[in-house]
Amino acid sequence: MKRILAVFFLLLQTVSVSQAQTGSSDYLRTNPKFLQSFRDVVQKSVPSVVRVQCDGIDCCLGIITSKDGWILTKAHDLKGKIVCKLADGRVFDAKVVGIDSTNDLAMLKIDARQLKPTTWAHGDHVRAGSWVASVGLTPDPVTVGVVSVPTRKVQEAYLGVMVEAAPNGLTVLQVLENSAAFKAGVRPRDLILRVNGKSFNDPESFAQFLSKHRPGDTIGLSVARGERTHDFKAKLQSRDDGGGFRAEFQNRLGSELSNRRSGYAVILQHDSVLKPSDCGGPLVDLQGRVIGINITRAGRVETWAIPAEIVQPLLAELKSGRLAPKEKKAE
Amino acid sequence: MRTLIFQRGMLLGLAIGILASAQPVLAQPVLPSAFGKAVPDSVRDLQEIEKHVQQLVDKVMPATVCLRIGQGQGSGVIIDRAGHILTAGHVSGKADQDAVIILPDGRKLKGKTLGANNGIDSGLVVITDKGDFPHLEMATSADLKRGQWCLSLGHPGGYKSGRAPVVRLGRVQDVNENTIITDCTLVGGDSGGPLFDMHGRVIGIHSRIGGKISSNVHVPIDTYRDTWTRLAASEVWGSPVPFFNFTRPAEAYLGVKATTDKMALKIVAITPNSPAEKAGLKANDAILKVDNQKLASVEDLSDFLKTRRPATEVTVHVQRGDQTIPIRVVLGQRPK
Repeated sequence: MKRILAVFFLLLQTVSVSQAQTGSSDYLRTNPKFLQSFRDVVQKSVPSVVRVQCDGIDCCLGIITSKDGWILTKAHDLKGKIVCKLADGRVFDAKVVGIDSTNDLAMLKIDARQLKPTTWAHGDHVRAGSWVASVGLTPDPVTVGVVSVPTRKVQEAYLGVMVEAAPNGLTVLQVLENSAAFKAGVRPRDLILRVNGKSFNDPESFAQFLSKHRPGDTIGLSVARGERTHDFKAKLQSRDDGGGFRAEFQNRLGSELSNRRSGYAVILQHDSVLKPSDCGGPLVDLQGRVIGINITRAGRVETWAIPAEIVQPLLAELKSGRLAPKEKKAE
Repeated sequence: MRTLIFQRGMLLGLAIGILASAQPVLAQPVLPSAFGKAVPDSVRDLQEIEKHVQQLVDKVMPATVCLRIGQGQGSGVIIDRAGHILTAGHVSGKADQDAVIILPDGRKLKGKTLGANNGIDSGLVVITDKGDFPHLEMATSADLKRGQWCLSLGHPGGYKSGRAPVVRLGRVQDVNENTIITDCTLVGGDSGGPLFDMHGRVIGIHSRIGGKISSNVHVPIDTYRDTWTRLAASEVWGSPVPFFNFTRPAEAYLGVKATTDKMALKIVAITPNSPAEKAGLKANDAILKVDNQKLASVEDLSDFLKTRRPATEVTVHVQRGDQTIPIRVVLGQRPK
């Protein structure tokens, strides 16, 4: 299993850069003059953005995907009475017609016509370092940044053990409390003989095996303890379930994070600082093309979007009614 | 503080640099004019910046590495053919430890830690495998200006298979001999990673963060050059002082002696007349969270207090016996 290595946490300090220095916020991305340089870039997309409110509170943004009232948005935080506020001020009740839980997407239907739908870009590979602008309901973008990692598959299934190579398997050195391994019954000093029937002699190949799985997958572990052999079933966890308090602490410094930050399959990562309530809107490149839908503020250094090439094939299915949400919202 | 001097100034600085420096300073090509503006104000400026940065990423990525030392991992950058890697002092730690170096293409190399200056948080590692390694130049941090554009790479959250070093673009917010502050966001795992100027030269190494999203602190490159002999000779010196070049507001104070007990934070003793005593915290209480922040170790508590001011009220949620109790505490000021 993936060796649990603590990251070297950045030291913390209370930094107080004297704001009396001239123009000290000039060079931040939040400088309104800087955001204004992106105005032409987002101009075409603003009319396609809606504000989604749940029980009267700003929940997220949404994207008009066709002119007869289909709105794509982020699913996870939707609850209660949902309305969509358009750029022109009109407010409509919204119904959730379909949910794709892996990608955290929801399709809403509002009773409106003649809306301005967005056009999705074709999947050109967006390079790291490219500017991206997050669109809201204002003439200037809500925030801007650069692509940090080109579109990738997320690998994040955690077992929660530290292992080392042994002659006939892997010796468990440590089991994280509340981890998948712990819940399955694995304990320190166990010898992992086989995983899903395969034997592993080194931690790295085991880590690679795990990286092909997704959170929620169950794996079978054949474990020797003293004289006996045990067969355990471990349900792999996502990043949010596992330990790492210190990592979470640092991650939360300076900005609010989204409630759901894991379980995605393919994402586009950028360094924009986006409020969780501004997820669900379009992410555009410097040509103004919609290259994704912002889906989560995943950490201090990262905001994720579902790329356009993943979204587009899902739109018809989301509208069809075949992905209608269950009565009780499963968590 | 130094203010941004526009392009003419940068050329002048470069000319002086060539004349005055004891080391050869390679003449750098002139940057696109957008980088010289106080604030980019057109899509054309943005396009110039983007095109330049995209190419820069390709140039600097290959020399940006993940470092695994002991049970921890951080980041680093290779700066010469011999395979020396600049990193943070708190990443390299003690001298002569085994290090595993992971290149962006996934290749693993072996290395050893050399010296560190814990006072400024600089550290050095060297690759011990034979080979020809991608490497990058060091610039001069004495020339850095506020507003200067910079690029940050590293492995936030640790090395992730399938994820290249993570790119962030920002600008220098403040700079002095001991620190560079930029708005390139950093988080655990980035420690030791490189900060580049727009020529792709290393100007800083990631060290620490503050409570604000724009408080990202890097070790200036000049210290590596100035103390090279000591670092390369595996000397470890300096104490990790609270970094004294910034006016620090007084740190918040609770008044407990605590211990990390099985991934939980337990109070061992309450300091007399402290905010903790006044609020009714007791020895043997386990602190579960403060406000909405889960705490699981003494380090978590110490970090948390650094982000709060004296005289602010927090709610400390404790486990006492089989009860969970929220206790309001007015934090005090750390006594000298």
